[in-house]
Amino acid sequence: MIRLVGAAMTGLACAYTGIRLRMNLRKRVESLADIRASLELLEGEINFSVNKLKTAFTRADRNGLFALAGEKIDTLGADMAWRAALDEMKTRLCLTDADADILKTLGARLGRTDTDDQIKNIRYVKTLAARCEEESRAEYERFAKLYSSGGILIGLFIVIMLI
Amino acid sequence: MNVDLIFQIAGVGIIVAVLNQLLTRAGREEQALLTTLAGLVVVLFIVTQQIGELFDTVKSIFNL
Repeated sequence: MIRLVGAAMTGLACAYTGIRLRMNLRKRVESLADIRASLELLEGEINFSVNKLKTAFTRADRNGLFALAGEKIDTLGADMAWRAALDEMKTRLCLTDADADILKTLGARLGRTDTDDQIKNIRYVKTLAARCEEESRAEYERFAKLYSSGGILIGLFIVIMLI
Repeated sequence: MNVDLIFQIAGVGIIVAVLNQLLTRAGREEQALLTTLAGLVVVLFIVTQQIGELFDTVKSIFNL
C-alpha cells in the first residue's frame, strides 16, 4: 500500500513539474504581450496626456511591472527604477535574462530627453518586445506538449524502475 | 521465470519510444538520442544482473 502511495506521489510530482514548466512558457508569452500593451499605453501617456512619468507608468500598468517601476521612480530615478522593477519582477513574469536585457534599454532615455526622442525609444523597445513575444510563442508551440507529456512519462519511468 | 521483469523492460521500452518521438518532433534530436541510450543502459543494467544470476546458477549446478 505504501509503495503504491509513494509511486503515485512520485508520478504526480513529475507530472506537476512538467505542467508547471508548460505554464511558465505560457506565462512568458502573456507577460510579453502585457508589456507590449503597456508600452503602447505609455507612448500615448507621454505623447498626448503629457503626464508625469510616475503617473504615466501607473496608468499604463497591465501586470504590475510598470506600477512597481512607478513606485520607485521618486527614490531611484526613471532608469534605475525601471531596472530594479524588472529585476524584481523577472522571475514572477517568467521572463528570460535576454528579455530583461532588451527591456532594460527602455530606461536609458526615459525622462531624460525630449518627447520625440522618448517616443522613438519606446517604439524601438516595442518592436524588440514584439520580436521576443513571437519567439516565446514559437517556443511555447514547440515545447508545451513536450514538457507536459515528458513530465508524465519521466514520472512513469521512475515508478516502473522503483516498483 | 520472473514475469514482472519482462513487463518492466517493456514499460521502459514504450516510455523511451514515446519520449524519443516527442523530443524528435520538438527538434531536439540530440536529447532524443541520449534518452534512447539512457533507456538502453537501464535495460542492459537490469538484464546483466539476471545474466549474472544465471551464470551463478550454472556454476552451482556443475559445482564449478
